[in-house]
Amino acid sequence: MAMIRASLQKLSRVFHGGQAGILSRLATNLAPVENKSVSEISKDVIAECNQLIEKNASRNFAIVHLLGKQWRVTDGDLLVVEGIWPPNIGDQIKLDKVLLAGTKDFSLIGRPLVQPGLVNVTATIISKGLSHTRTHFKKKRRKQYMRINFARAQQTMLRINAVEITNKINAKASNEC
Amino acid sequence: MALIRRFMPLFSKVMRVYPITVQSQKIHRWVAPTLMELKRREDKLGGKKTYPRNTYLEWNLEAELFAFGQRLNEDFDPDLLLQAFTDRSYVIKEEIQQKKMGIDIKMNDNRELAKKGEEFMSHYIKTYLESVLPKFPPEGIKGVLKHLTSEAVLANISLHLGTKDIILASQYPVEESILANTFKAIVGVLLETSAEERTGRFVRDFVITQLQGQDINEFWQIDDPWSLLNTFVEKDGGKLEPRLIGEVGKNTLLACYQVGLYIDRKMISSGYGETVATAKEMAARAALKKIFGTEDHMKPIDFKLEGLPKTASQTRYQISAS
Amino acid sequence: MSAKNLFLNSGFVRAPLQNGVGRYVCQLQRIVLKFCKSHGGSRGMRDFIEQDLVDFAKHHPGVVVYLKPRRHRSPVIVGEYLNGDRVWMNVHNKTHEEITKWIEVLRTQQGDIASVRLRKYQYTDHPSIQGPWTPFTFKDPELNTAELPSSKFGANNRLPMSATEQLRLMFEKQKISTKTEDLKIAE
Repeated sequence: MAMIRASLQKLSRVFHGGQAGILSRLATNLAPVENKSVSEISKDVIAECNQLIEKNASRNFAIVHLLGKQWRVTDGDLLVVEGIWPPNIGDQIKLDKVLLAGTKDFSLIGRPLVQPGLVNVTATIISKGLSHTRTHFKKKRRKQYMRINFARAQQTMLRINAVEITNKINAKASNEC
Repeated sequence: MALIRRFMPLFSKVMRVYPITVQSQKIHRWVAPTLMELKRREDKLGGKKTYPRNTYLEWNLEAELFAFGQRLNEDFDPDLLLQAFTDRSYVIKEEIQQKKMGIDIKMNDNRELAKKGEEFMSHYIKTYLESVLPKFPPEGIKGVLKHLTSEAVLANISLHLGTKDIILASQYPVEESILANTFKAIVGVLLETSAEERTGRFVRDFVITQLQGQDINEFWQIDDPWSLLNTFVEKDGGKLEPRLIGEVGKNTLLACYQVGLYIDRKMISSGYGETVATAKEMAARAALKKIFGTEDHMKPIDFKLEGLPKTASQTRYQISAS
Repeated sequence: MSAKNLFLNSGFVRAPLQNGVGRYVCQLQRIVLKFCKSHGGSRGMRDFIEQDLVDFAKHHPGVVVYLKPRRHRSPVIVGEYLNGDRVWMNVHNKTHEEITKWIEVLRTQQGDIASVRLRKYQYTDHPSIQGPWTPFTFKDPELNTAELPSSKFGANNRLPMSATEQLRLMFEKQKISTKTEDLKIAE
């Protein structure tokens, strides 16, 4: 297994410049790789990944970009984002900026985002309130300078409902012609 | 004046000998002793008294019952809901009081509703689990069901739905058993007022979601995973072969062994342990998890199944009656 | 002034009763508005009660609203949450708009979240999905049967070639080429 993984890692370096824009690491057995061209190998790997997506037998995770931060999320996670943000409690939202998605057996890395419509990350807003009071205390010695400020930031808590890979890799999105 | 002049040196002497102490910070030295004294007096009178929320001036049972239904997005029959919140102990207490006063008003408690709710819940949860965990054996499902319908879990759900203050009981704060019972009764009320499907959704949203983030395997104690795995493998005509595939720190306190299980020279699982025997057991457990479809990376349990789930499929592994 | 002196507890991100996994439940269960009918400090509160309270109650039927007039005392808002938290807030001399905003904050938060300093901003039950790395993860299976010490596994081939080694190689190459040239001349 380790050998296969190692060889695939070597492979992935080749993939990086490949056409698909995916860097895949498969734990399942793959046909011997030596005598195949790069495009053929990438086709094989994509086909294998598509099969796994169809089987849908594993927990998925994704790295999403949300309010300037990157979060690794999976089903049932809780996130707290700080700052003014319009969504209100009870809202269901979809997190669209997916930088990376993965299952047990492979990862899809976006350049910088994975193909739109491939990964579906949904979340519910469950709480929106103010943080504890933070004290900003500044003082310069011997300069008669002292400032004290208090701040409370808005905190919004999200529950990740589902991370799903809903489409095939390199498949056309439903709204694309 | 002469008197003052004569005593002036004396005054100044006194001032010099006993200077007024000036504290650098204004520390309120009296706070702690005062609080301690107050606490001591309170304890002497029998500890701090807490009054239940429903004895406050700002309390309206009718409004609370209405808001309870609205909060959960369900339409409850108000009379039945009140009955669901009436515990047996409260009825007994009331009857005694009424006898003293010489009046007689009939009151219903929630025992019957709770029974109805409990029956529905255990049936629904069982079929739901069977449909979302298709490969998990019936013994395991029983274990999960036992956990979900245990008093502690139901009481926790009940508490977080806000029943704590509304419950009519003889004593406050209410016990766990009363909380759990009330939740069952609420399910019973829903069953009476709305369709089974809707009740099922309620149970799904509040009870089954408690499995979120939990390891399913922990609710079912397998005493001898090795022999259990062997029965499965032998049924399919294979032969288990454990192999030591890694060892680290032999003869030290931090020894770690890795054992892989093979069938037909193909690895099915591996496990770690501080001895070879535990590593073998862990490997067997990992293999069982694979068979039951409950690995750590299993697909998350679906909490959105609509309608009443179908009863058991035949694909699951049957464990012999013994 | 450190966090220890502030009586500020620290905590981690949690949600009561797996909220949001099934259906979403608003966590504010009741709100009590205490105010004075004549005092100026309650003016904003009275305005809110006169203008917005009925709408508030209508839009949020899951929240029980209580009014408690008290003579000549500061107006106060008390929110009670499903997880047992109670948030007390003095709104003396606050205007109508400010009170509207504070009540909205009380309604949307899930408990007394301001009383804890969050240590982490994320919570997960599944820290690893593809499995954590162990020293055994990418181990070469050949090592299991290898006789150690062995020159194959024990060789230090991680360092770059030394200058001496490079010179030696160059010298040997040169020797071979001169030999072949000699042969050519001999022909």
